[in-house]
Amino acid sequence: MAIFSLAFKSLWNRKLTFFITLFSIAISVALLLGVQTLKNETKTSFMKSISGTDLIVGARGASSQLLLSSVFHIGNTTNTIKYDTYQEIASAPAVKWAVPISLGDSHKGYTVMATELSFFEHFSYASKQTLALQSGKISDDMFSVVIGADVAKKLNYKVGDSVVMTHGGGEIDGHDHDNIPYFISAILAPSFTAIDQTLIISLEAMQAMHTEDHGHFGALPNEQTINSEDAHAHHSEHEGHEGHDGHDAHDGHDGHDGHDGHNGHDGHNGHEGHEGHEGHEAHDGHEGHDGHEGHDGHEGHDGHEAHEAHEAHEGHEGHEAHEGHEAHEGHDAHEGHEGHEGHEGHEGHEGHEGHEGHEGHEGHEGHEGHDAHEGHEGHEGHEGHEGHEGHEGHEAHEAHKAHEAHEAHEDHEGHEGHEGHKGHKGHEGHAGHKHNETADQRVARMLKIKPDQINAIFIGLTSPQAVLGMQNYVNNYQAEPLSAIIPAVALQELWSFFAIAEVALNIVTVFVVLVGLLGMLSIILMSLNERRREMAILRSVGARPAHIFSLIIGEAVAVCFAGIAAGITLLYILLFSLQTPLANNFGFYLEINMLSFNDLMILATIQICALMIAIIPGSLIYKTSLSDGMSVKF
Amino acid sequence: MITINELAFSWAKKPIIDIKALTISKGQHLFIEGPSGSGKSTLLNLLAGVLTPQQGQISILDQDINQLSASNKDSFRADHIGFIFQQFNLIPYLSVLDNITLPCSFSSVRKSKALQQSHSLNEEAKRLLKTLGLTEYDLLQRSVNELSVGQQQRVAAARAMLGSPEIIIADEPTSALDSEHRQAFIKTLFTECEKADITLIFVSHDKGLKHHFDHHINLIDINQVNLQEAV
Repeated sequence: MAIFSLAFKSLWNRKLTFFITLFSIAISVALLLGVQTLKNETKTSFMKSISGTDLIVGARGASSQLLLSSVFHIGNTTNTIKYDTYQEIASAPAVKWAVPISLGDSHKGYTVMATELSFFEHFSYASKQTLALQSGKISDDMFSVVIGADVAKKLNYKVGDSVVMTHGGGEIDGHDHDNIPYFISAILAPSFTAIDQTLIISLEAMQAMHTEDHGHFGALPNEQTINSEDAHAHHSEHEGHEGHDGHDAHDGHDGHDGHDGHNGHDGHNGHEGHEGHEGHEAHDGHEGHDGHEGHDGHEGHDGHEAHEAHEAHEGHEGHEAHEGHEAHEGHDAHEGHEGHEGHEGHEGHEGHEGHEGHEGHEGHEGHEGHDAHEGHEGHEGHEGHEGHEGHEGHEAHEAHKAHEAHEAHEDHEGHEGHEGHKGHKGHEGHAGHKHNETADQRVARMLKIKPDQINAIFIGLTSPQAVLGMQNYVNNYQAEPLSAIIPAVALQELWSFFAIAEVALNIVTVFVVLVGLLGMLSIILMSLNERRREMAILRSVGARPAHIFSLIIGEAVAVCFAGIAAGITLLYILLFSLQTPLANNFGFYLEINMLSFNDLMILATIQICALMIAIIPGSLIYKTSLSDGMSVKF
Repeated sequence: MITINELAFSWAKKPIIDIKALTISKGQHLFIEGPSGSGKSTLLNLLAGVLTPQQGQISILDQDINQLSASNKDSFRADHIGFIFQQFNLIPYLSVLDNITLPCSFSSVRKSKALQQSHSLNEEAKRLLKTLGLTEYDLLQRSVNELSVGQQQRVAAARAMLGSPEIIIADEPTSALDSEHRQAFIKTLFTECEKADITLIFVSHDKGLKHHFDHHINLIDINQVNLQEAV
C-alpha cells in the first residue's frame, strides 16, 4: 500500500475537518479571485466607457472633471463652451468628426444629454462598438428622444411614450419643462456605459427648453397670439433667423406630413425662401404673395431677362414655370418643380433635380409641398430680382444666396434621404401626435435655435498622429479657455484614483486567504496529537521520519490544492450566476474569462504558502516521532 | 543474533539505559521483565534503531545498526523486526487487511517473503489470522474499530509475523487482555514463532508470564541506571 493511499485514507478518516478546512480555503480563494475579477472587470468596463473618440473638448478645467461629466455624466456641468467654438473646432482640418453635447437636465434622475444625430454614428464604446438600438428608430424629429436601456427598463418606457424633462438634476420640484414633451423614438440596446442611464435629445430641443423664458415662447416680437393656424405665419416674420435656411424648411415639413394644410403653406414655403433673403424688403412683398400670385410677379421677371447675363437669371425662364405653380397650388406643386428643372442652368437648381427624388414621395403630399418650397426658394431669389430690377448688382447677389440655399440642399443629401424617409411615412401615424404639440413646441420647431453654449465636444481625428497637435491647438485656443483630453489617458488617470481602494481590497483579500491557511494550520496542529499513535505505528513498521513529515506536508498541500480547485469552481459558479443579475440590476457587464496568468501566480503563491505553513506541524511531528519512537507516552 | 555491548543512552542528559552486555540467540524466546519506568520502552526503541545510543553497539543479525544511516535503520527495522504493542497497535482508519499488510508498504523483503508463503498478501493475511484463531470470513475488510481488544492484538500479531521477520518484539502485548485470552494469545504466538523460527523478545512487568519462557531477564538487574531511585 503506497504512502499516498495511506495519506488519503488518513485524510478521509478526518473528512469532516478536512472538508471544513477545504471549504474555508475554497471560500478565501474564491473571494480573492472574485475580487481580482471584479477589479479587472470594473476597470475594463470603466476603460470601455468610450472608444474611438480621440479627444474630448470642454471648458478649461481638470481633465477628470471633464471626463466624468462628459462620459460618465457625473458631477457638475456648469462649465460651458460656445457653440461658435464648436463650429470652429469642427472645421479644423485634422477633425474628422465632432459631436457637441450639452448636459444639465434630467428625467427622473436620469441624465438628459443633448447632442446631434451624428452622435449615434460616431460615439463608440468598448472595441469601437457604436450604440445599437433595441427598439424603435432614431428620428430626426426635434422632439424625439432616444433613451438608454436602463431608463427604458427602470421606468418601463416604450417607443412612442411621452416624457418631460426636468431642469437641472431634479432636486427642485416644479422645474419640469412640461411645456415641451418629447416622444420616445428609440430605445438603445444596453452598452453598459453611462449611456444606458441617459436620455438623448437634440440640441435644438435642449435650447428650446432653455430660452430666457424656459421654453415658454409666448409672445414673440411682432406677434400677439399663437395659434396653430397662424403658426406658420411666423416663419415669415422670423426674418432674422439665419437658421431658417431651406433645409430647416424641410424639417418643418416633416412635421407637416401629409397635411392638406400644406397647400395653404405653400405660400409660406415661399416665405422660407425669404428667410434666406434676410432683410430684403422684397420679402415683405412676398408675404403678400401667399399664393403663387407672387410668382405672377415673376412674369415680370421675364422682362428682366436682360439680366440673364447673370447666370442666375438664366433660369428666369423657369420663372415662367412658376406661373405654373400658381396653378399648382397644392400637390400640383410638383409639376411646378419640374418647371424648376428648367432652372438647371443654376447650379442650385440642379439641386432641384435632386428634389425630383421627392416626387418619389408622391404619397407624401406634404413632401410635394416641400418640393414646392425648394422651388420657391429658387424663385425667391428670382423674386428678389423682380424687386431688384433696378438693383442689378443685387440680383446676382441675391440669386446667389438662393443658390447657396440650394447648394445646402444638395449637401444635405439627407433630403434625398427624405425620399427614402419611410420614417416620414411611419410618422404619419404620429401625425396625430404632432397635432397635439404644444404651442411652445411648434414655435420651437420653427425657431430651430442652435444652442449658444454646449458642455463638451467629442472629436474624432483624421489620423491618430494628429491627437497631440490637436490637443495643443485646443488647449491654446484663443477665443475661450478650453481643455482637450485624450479619453484613454484621462480614464487611466481617473482610474489611478481608485488605486488606493484597490490596494485596500487586495490587503483584505490577502488576509482572508491568510486566515484560511491559518485555519488549516490550526486544524493540522490539533490533529497531530491524536495522530502521534498513528505515527508511532507507522514508525514501528518501518516508516521513516521523512515519511511522517511528508505525510503532514502532503496532507496540507492536498487540502490546499483541493481548496483552490473548489475555490475556482465556486468562483465560476458565482460569476455565472451573478452575470445576469449584475447586468440587469446594476448595468455592470461581467465578462467571464479564463484565469489570468496573474491569477495563476496568486494561486501558486497560496499553494506555496500552504506548503510553508505545513512545515510547522510537519517538523513538530518529525521531532515527536523521533523522540516518541514507537512508543507513545501518554 | 542480537548482541548489546556497553550500551548507554540518556535522554535530555538523564541516563536511562546502561547495559554492559546482552546476547540473544536465534530462535530464543526471551522474557524481559521490568517495572514501568525501568527503561523497557527505551531499550526496545534502541533495539529498533529508532533511538540512537550515545555509547556502545547494538548488533542485530551481525549488523551494527548504529552504523547504518537513519533511513537504512528504518528499512532494516521494517525488513527484520515485527512489533506488537500493548494497545492501539492498529491504525484506526485502515481495514484489518490494510493494517496487516502495512509492513509491506515499507519493506519489499517482507512483502516477497509473504508472497512466498501465499500467492497474495490477502491470502497470507487470511492464513495468519486463521492460525491466530480469527476465522470470520469478512474480518479482513472490517474496520479495526469493530474488533475486540483480543482480536485487535491478534491482528497486531498477524501484522508482526507477516513476511516472517527474524525478530518479533512484543511490548506488553497481553496487558489489555483478560487472563484466559492472555494464555491463549501467548501460546499461539509461541507456536507461530517456533514455526517460522522467529526470535521473540517479550517485554512485560507481569511476572506471571515468566514461566512460559525458557529465558528471562530482569531489566533492573542488567540496567546499571537505577531509575527507580532516580524517580
